[in-house]
Amino acid sequence: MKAALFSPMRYNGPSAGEGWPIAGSIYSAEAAEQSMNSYLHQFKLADEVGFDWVTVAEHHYAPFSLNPNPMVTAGALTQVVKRAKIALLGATIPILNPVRVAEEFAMIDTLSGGRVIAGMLRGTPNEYVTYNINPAESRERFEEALNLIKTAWRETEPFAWQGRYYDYRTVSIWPRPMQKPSPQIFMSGSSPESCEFAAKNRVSLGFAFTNVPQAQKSAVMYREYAEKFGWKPTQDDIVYRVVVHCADTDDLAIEQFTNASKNAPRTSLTMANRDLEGAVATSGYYGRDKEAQRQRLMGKGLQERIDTGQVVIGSPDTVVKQLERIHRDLGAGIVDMTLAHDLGETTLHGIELLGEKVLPRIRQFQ
Amino acid sequence: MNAPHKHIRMLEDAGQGMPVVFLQSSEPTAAKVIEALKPNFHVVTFDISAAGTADGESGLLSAIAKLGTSVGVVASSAMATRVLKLALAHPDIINALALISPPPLTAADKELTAELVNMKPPVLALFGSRDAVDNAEGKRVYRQTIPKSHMMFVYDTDGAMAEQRPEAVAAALRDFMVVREGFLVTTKSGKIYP
Repeated sequence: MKAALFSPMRYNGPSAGEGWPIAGSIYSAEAAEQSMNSYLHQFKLADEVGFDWVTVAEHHYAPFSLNPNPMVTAGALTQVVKRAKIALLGATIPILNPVRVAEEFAMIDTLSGGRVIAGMLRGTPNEYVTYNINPAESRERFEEALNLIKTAWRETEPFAWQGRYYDYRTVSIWPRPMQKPSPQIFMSGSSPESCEFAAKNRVSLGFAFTNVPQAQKSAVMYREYAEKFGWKPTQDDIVYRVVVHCADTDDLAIEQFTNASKNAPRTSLTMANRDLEGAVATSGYYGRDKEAQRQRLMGKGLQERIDTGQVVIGSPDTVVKQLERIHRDLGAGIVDMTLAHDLGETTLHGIELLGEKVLPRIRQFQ
Repeated sequence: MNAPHKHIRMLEDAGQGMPVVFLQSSEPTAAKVIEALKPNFHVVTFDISAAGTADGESGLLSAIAKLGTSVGVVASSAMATRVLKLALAHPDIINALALISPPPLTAADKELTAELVNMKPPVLALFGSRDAVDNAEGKRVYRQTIPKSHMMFVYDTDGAMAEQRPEAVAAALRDFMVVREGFLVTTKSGKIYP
């Protein structure tokens, strides 16, 4: 099993409260700068201690994440992270210009010497408000944008694109991706529709902000669809994102995590604005298993989150055991370890513990 | 307009405006595209599947020439190769050419491919995105060899694009036939409110 380190790159300034969007009146440029530098340092350390990937993602308009454009962060990471792959999980392509996304991925792939992992997601419901895109069009936009991006990477002659949502009269990107035929593409597998689309288009699958039982169902569905479309996904086609906090002992890990959580928002980004989320839900955004989709985003107690594989917490031995269960139940080949809190030296020590005492052991998982 | 030759069947003559001639086989697959173009174009459709003789082609060219000095031609997949040869020989009559899902050019087409560098009119080759990767090299030959050529992918279609997404095909033809090479530059307004 491979390991990735993901940080949402939270703003480490004074508490901002809950909700979405968050007003800029409380924003501190110094705190934001300190936060960004802290995360770059964490990613650099993750690279040095042996993580296979470092991961960034796109979110807007809130201190939950200082990363509205993960391409910019990934560009910086190409100069800091020297060995690990740089994963963008991902770009929220239905709200972006797909040709621009194709160009930016190609730039990062070139700058990194062919180390980019190209995650492309529909994003959380609030992101559709960010650039005023109708969430009812989310899935169709996503599917067309992904198709267009793959075409832009593949096609060596200038081409025009007559789409439903995108219309270009000439596309011919420079630079082009370094990896051939293309960087590995991941998409979210949270819904049945996504599982089928990913399998049909031979795209790898990622799970985030879900739990193992639900991801397990989706993974089974993905593999069944893949078989129907004539191929077999490997372990490396499935990545599972989970909050991880590792300390020297179980008690210390739980104490540190619990204390840090007291000052953090208690709801997910999606549920931070319930009125908005409700409006998006009525648009058909979630697809045919809407209630299951919404349920997985609801806040839960720590023990329940541990039991269902949403949080991995403890000493290195405990973390290994919990990851082994995730690997066994889900068949994921990559675990995307999320740093939920930036606790300074404590977090850095946790990354070192993971690198020294966890990663060598989970690599043995087959 | 009457059928210009005994082996040419006229399927349609309707609409007003700039003339566009559809050259297709007996299968009337572009009916919805033609319907979408009629409000802006004088659309004449011929079934030329039986008109392979020199006599038949001569009659066809005469008919096209009678429509005016700026005539765009649209060829269906089955007729694409034949119409390409006509356009090579008569650029004064066929002023712009759009090919709907033309066949990939292979080594067997080397004589035609060698000639395509001499093509005078602008050419738009439309391919479906669903089968874009099939024989991709053969599809690129049009773009690589014809001087004023464009390759367009019509999303979520294959060779039956004129039936699957007629509005999308018609929109591409509309722009290309009106401004030819200038179709690269959009004239759609981005303004939301005045």
